[in-house]
Amino acid sequence: MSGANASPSGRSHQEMSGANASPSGRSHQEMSGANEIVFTDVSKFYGEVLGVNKINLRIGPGITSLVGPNGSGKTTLMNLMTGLIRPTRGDIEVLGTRTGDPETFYRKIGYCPQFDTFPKGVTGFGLISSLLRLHGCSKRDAEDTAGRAIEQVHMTDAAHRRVAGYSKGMRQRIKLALAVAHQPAVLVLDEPLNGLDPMARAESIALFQKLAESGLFVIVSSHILHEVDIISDSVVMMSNGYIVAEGDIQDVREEMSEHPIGILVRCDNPALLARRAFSENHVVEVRIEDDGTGVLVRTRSADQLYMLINRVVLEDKMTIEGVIPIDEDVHSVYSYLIGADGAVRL
Amino acid sequence: MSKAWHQTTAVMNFEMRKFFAGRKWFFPVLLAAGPVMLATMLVLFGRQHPPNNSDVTEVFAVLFQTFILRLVIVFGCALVFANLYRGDMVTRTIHFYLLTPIRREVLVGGKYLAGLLTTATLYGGMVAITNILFHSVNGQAVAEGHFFSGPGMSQLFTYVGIAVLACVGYGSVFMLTGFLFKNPAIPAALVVVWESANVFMPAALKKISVVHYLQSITPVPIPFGPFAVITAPASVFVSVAGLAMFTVATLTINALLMRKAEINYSSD
Amino acid sequence: MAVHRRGYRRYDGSLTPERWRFWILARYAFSRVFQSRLLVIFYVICFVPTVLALSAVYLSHNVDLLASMFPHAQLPSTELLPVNAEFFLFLMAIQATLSVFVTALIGPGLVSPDLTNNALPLFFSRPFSRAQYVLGKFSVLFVLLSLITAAPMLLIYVLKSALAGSQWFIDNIHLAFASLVGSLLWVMLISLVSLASSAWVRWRPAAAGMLFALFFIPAGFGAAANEIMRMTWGSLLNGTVLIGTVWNSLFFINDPAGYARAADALSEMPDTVGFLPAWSAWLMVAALCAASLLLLNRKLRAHEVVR
Repeated sequence: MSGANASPSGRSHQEMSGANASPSGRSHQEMSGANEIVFTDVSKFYGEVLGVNKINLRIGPGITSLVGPNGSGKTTLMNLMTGLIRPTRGDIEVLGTRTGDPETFYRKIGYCPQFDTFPKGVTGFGLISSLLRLHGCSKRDAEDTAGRAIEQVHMTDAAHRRVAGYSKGMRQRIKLALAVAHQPAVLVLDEPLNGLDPMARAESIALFQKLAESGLFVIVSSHILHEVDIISDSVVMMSNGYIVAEGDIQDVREEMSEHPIGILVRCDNPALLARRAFSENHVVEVRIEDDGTGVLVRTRSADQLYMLINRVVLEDKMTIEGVIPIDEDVHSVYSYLIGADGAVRL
Repeated sequence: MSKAWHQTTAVMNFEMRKFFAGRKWFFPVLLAAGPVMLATMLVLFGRQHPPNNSDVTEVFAVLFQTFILRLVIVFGCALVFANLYRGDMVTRTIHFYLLTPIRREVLVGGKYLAGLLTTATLYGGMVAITNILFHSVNGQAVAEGHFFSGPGMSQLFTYVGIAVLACVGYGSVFMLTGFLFKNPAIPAALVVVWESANVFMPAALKKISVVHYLQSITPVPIPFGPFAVITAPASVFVSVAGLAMFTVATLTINALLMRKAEINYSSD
Repeated sequence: MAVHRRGYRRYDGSLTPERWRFWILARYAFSRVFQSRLLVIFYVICFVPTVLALSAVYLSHNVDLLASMFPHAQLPSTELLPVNAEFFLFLMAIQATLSVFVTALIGPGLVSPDLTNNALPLFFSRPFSRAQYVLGKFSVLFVLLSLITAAPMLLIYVLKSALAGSQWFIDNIHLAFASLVGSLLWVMLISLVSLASSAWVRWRPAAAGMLFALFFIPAGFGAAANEIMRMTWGSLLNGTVLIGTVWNSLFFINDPAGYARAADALSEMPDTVGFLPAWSAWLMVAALCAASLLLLNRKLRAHEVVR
């Protein structure tokens, strides 16, 4: 990764602040309920136990990741979004439709839940084709569509075996096939990469990206933060039933002024850069790497640092090999905001 | 309307597939096999000293009202119908249905019809086979005379109809108890005891049961002993219409409750 | 990988002897069982008939006390309440009925949840055999049911002996033997059947329902078979008649006239026709226990093969 304006997901900052960027960067004119998933002051209590509290959220197209420790409310949020549970308070709209209208609602939504249970005695193909018939497909269409969905997740060979005999990864793939079979506009995936081997994970990630590029809303919850980094357009971080951060990860990171951003610059003259950086007010820490090929700078303003680097390159003819933000990823933001013990640090 | 019917048949299809693919069919079929086995034993071993035809008719009537109606069909319906919703909750598979674009009322209807089709076929067929076997103990000629020249055919259809009506009534009750109770065995046991004790109840309480109306339309009345409370039987119209209305009311309650249902896969 | 600092130490304390390992399962099951308030209340109620019987035995030996409580009553001069085989049979029938409900409350929760939640691999991947698992679960039912069936009978026998004297104790030792063996046989039968049905249906409410179904439906089938075939063998499917016949054979082992009276009384019950030979009842009880054990052997495995 090189270049001052690169970001973990591969999309530049200029792109992200434009009209086609992640949800937090979209202009007001483009925000409308009919093209978003909207949570308005949503709370869910299980008796006295808090599931989620006062959630106000708008999710747009692309891949949005839900990140948080166990018990933070990710699954509750997904179950609310998919109508499996009802909010204690508040309102949820998915592309302009409410859960009270199941005939419209469930044509738009596909859900791959965490539940790893299946009806006894059914095959993967039988399950998907039977449920597609509930969508209104004829028997033949249901079978054809089921076949295509199964092919998409590379389960054709095992499709006519009983699900009870599948491995965990195979069951996960069948759940994915079930979620995408009816070509929904919104795909909600609760830890979809659980149990998948590395090849299957890569294939699934490629599938999510392909679906997102075609305009789908893909909401994924995951604990694998480096994968979240790779695939997500935006992130929603949760802890103890609250949303602690949402939006593009770099925007979130920039708002965390109490944690200066660390940027590693690999160059031919680290001492020069270090000297110049020290004189800047926004720089908090400068450290030359042990191998002498780079300098780590902690700054309160990444943009000002990038401009400094540009000046040093032009004025002092320094050669830059790489500019690497070291804590502008989901993992770093997660550890700053939530920490290892799951407690929120704000 | 046709979309709702298409979805209903899709639900029925899926339920039947689950019923036969798993092992849920075993006990209901075993229950149905009981009376058939008894009739077979009579045919195989009763020919040496066969009872006369009127005795056979009465014995079948006793068997039907005491064993088949009050035990076999009640337990069989409890097994099939209580499992329709509660079984999916226990196996954590109800979400497959709830994530499809199907109205919850249609889901309830489809599940009920699947259960009804299964039990009506199973127990209606069992009653028919048992009745025919019973009356064939005295030989083919006597059986043909009973069915084609005598009252046998109308009795046979009546018994089968009563068995189907029993499945209609008990099915809706057990489907609702399966929805309402985490442990539907307790209400099922209470229903069995209530229906069994029905003959000894006063007239007002008798009417709060399915078996009272079914018994009213049996073709051959049987004595229930000195402690039974005798009441005037209900007419065929009242019995059939009453059961139908009761079933519709129970299913409506079930559908309304289903609309508000949430997924909560907590352990028993 | 070099281990520089060995912080982990294997457990080197004492191990439970292998023959008592089943009791670990039972201990945990007991603590779970008594969390149910309904069960605790019902279990306490199960002792009420015993308390009444003990009071009756005591009062029958203290006619003066009874006369002072009921001064106008005409009390017989001979024994008020004869404590004989019929007395024990009557009380055992009551306690056995109560034990069925206790079994329905406890039994299904012993094996079904382990099967439903796929916990068997957790047990059998440890030095713990399937026989020990069954023994552990069985011992829960055995202990709890014995306390409401066999223990009350022995208590009454001891009280009567204390009041009537050592000669009564010697002359009626067969009553103690019969009530102990009869109660334990009944406890063993319903415990094994309950565990087997719990393993078969896997779902706890269904297992409870199945236990009741096993009492009603075979009895109905047997009665219908008796009626149709004009025989008595159908009564082998009637749990009440079955265990009643076994108990009669124990209590009247040296008293053919008494056995005939008791068998008469049993045959006058609804849905029974004629006598059932004692050997057939014993054989049926043995067959049911064996079938239950076979079913448990088949169902309780650490893995499941799906084709």
